[in-house]
Amino acid sequence: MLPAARRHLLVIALLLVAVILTWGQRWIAAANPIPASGGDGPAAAPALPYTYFVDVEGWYRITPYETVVRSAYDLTAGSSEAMAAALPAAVGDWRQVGEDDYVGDDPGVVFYLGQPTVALQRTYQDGSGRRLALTILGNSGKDSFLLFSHTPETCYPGRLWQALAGRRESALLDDRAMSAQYLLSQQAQTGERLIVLYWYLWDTPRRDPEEGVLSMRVNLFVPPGESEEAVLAWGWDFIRSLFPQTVPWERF
Amino acid sequence: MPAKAKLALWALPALALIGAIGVVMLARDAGEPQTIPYTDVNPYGANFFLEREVEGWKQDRTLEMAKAAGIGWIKQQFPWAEIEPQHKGEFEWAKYDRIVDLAGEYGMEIIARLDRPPNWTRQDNRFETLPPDDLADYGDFVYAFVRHYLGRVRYIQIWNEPNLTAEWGFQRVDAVAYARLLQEAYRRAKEADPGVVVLSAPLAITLEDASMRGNHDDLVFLEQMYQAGAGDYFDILSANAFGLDRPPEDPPDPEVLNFRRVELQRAIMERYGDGDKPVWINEYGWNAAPAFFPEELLTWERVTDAQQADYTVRGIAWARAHWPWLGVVNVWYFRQVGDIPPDRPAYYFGLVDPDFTPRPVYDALRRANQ
Repeated sequence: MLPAARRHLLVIALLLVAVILTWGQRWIAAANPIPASGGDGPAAAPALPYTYFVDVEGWYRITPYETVVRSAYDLTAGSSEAMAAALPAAVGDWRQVGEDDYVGDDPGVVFYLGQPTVALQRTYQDGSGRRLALTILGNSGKDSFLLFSHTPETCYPGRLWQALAGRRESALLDDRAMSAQYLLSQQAQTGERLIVLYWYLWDTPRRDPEEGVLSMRVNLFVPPGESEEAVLAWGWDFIRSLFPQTVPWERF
Repeated sequence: MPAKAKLALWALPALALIGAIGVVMLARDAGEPQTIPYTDVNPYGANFFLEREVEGWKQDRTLEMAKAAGIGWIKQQFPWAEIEPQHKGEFEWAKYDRIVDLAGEYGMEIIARLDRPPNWTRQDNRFETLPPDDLADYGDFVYAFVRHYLGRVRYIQIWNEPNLTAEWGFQRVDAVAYARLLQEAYRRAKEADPGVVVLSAPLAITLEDASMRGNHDDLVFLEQMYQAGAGDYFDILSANAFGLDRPPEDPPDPEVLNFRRVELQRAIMERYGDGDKPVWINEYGWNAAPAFFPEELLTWERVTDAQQADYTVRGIAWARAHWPWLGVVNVWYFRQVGDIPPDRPAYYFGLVDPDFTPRPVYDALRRANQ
């Protein structure tokens, strides 16, 4: 080969190298299709597969206290029996005590709530012997309105539990708070005190009552000598076991 | 042919090529090109909810006030579920045609956010933000959208905040999955109109780790997007820039959420060779919830009305002076139609109240533009 031709080839080779250095990255990227999902994604899926929308009210408005929570438990069951099966006997440190109470046939429930699809009450106890009763009432269609109209405030006085205080309470689940309605009542004859924390729960942000809604209530008897604050704290401890995580969420 | 002529035949094209490559290399070495496309624009934009407005005169009044304040960009959602609601290929454009027409009447440009798939695109319809089962359906929608508004809507944004589980169907966020969606949308958009400008989805600013509750740090997510090849599928990087309770000059820090966090996203762009693309701010602002507002509800922290007005104007001026890669800044938000009540902190971002009463931040922007 002639020396001049070799020089020309060298120049062209250098040019090619420069072009490859300049544009090679883009060519390589373009030649490699985007990989299937998950390859470089975050390390682990949320351990809590169920997402719920909870609020202190539900029929007339969405309050600023609506919170999105995650749970390990499927609360979408459409019957009391299915709900009892879906809800484990052990929730965090709390263990079921006694049999489930299916309250759908209770005359008061029938009268005020119609025929709720879910009407379940279960007692839990922790290692320290503290007890609470979880009540889950659910309905869909037009009758779901009854869950909002007949709250513990209107229900308990009829059973001789006089309302002493009612307000909204909040507690941190993780770094964000969940809110619940709080009712303190006293039994007219025995003087027993009962705290009820209650809220509503949906499994979609649509919150369409026709699709179904749950009214969840944690009933806490205040033992003699125990402060209401302490009893309230163990109620929140149980709720944290049901919903250990929140999801930041704003409606627009 | 004489030897000298042969040499010239080789050498001239070679020299021309060397020259061209030299220019490219010099531009790369210089870091920023002299002019980044889509930066020489009116920087003032805002987010609007015109699709939620029932009364036409209110849409008119909204744009009239925006125009008076010097705002030239309408960032507006075009929910797929409203445009192709029931069946594939059956479009209902009328409501959105009115919005696009109105923008044209006021001489304002639209940045169209395209997300919210209709139910027919998915088996699981519990969450409206869940992506479609088949990305080709989304691509078809993007194609139809760009064709329908050819020459009238020139800027489209592909999805919104895919690093938030709430914007990804409450499932684990996935940068690779988003990159695939972006790729499909970009390919079909350019097929419909090579001149349409594609904006990536803005990422929500967050320090969270997806393994905890599904949201993912915006800086990590952006890096993962680039690793997945997303850089080839957008023309403008869209970013969010909320100031929270810090002034606009507050320096960037990966562990801090503030306005200048955008610079950290910019650094990632440059690291992946995307320095020749601009950044547009999708949502920008400070929240001025009243002092009595419960602390637990202050998602965006809070500043006073006066600080909100000052920071908002100051932030744009600061960014224009320091960020040659900046294009449009869309304030979050211009006016909501009354569906966000005053008991929500989000109410206190608005430049104008639902009844069109201007807030101090509106007046400040208007003054800055005069």
